[in-house]
Amino acid sequence: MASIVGAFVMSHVPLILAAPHAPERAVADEVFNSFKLITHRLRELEVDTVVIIGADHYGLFGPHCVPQCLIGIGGVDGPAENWLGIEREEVLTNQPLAKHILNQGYADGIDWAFATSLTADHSVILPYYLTVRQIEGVKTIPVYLNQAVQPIISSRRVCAIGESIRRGVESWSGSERVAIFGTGGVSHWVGTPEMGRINEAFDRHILELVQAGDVAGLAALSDQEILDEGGNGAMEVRNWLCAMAAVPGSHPHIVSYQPVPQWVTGVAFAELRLAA
Amino acid sequence: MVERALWIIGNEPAATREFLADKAAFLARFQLDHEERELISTLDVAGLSQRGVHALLLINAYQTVFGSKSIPEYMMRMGAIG
Repeated sequence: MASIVGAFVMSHVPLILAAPHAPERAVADEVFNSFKLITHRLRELEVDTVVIIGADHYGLFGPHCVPQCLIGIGGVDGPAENWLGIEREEVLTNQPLAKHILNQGYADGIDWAFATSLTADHSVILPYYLTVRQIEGVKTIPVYLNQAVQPIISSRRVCAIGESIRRGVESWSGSERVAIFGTGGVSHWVGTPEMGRINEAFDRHILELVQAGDVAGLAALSDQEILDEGGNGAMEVRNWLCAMAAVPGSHPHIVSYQPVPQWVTGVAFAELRLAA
Repeated sequence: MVERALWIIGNEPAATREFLADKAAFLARFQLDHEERELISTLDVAGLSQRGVHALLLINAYQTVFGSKSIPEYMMRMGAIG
């Protein structure tokens, strides 16, 4: 039976790749070392498939169609952006398991949209590029939750999706060892007149909730609280919530946190450790 | 149609090139008033933001047209605090 053996939450701010030398060396090193640590843990845990939960930035899905939740069940490439500093390439995917998670979702009442061909953006590709891609043969399943365009997906729905992903993995007949990535956050204001603001107090509050494994506390944050205190980019902590809901009873460990003005974001990493 | 035009500029490479080559001809495809055409032609992100255009569409289009190194300039034009 397949199982979830690891889970992580991490920032995906595109400037990590597009402007890697913008912050001081030590600051950037800590960020890249955090990605290396996650890669190391994927190896240790013998992970062969990673479900990467990202956030569209009103780019992949435009004014013509905004899915609340979408899973890629076919071919994937990326990045979509021409300015990320890396070439677009194909991503190795686990399509059978992705289709099973989709079908499990329908059985659970999750109204997934799905893509049989998907060009992913930095929210999936950046974490993929710096971790999954470093290990030969590890496959990806991309998931997108809508945190960009009102009405934003609710915490309740996000938790239900995380729980359904777990049921999908655990009911799969294969022997995959799966990790879940919740990507994005922490505080940042993207494209707004407040762009450049970082709210360290908000970020540390979020990390306290993560460290405590407080799914209910994170879920209780309203859209308005997050927007006011963490900015439109902080809505991406709903991806973290989805990952946390997929691994109930985990023992989270904060890997690193730094406010990085040059990347206009509070940049954080945590592992949601599971019992062996 | 403002958001539609900006999304296409930000996400369709051929359209980005057409926009840069001849803004008036590109924008003629869309039902826009004179002020909207002017705001998009000059990528007046502050003006578009004041009209309620979604922030992500603005920064996406701006970065696609001017590259990731344009973010400080975007922030300055937006009147951002950073």
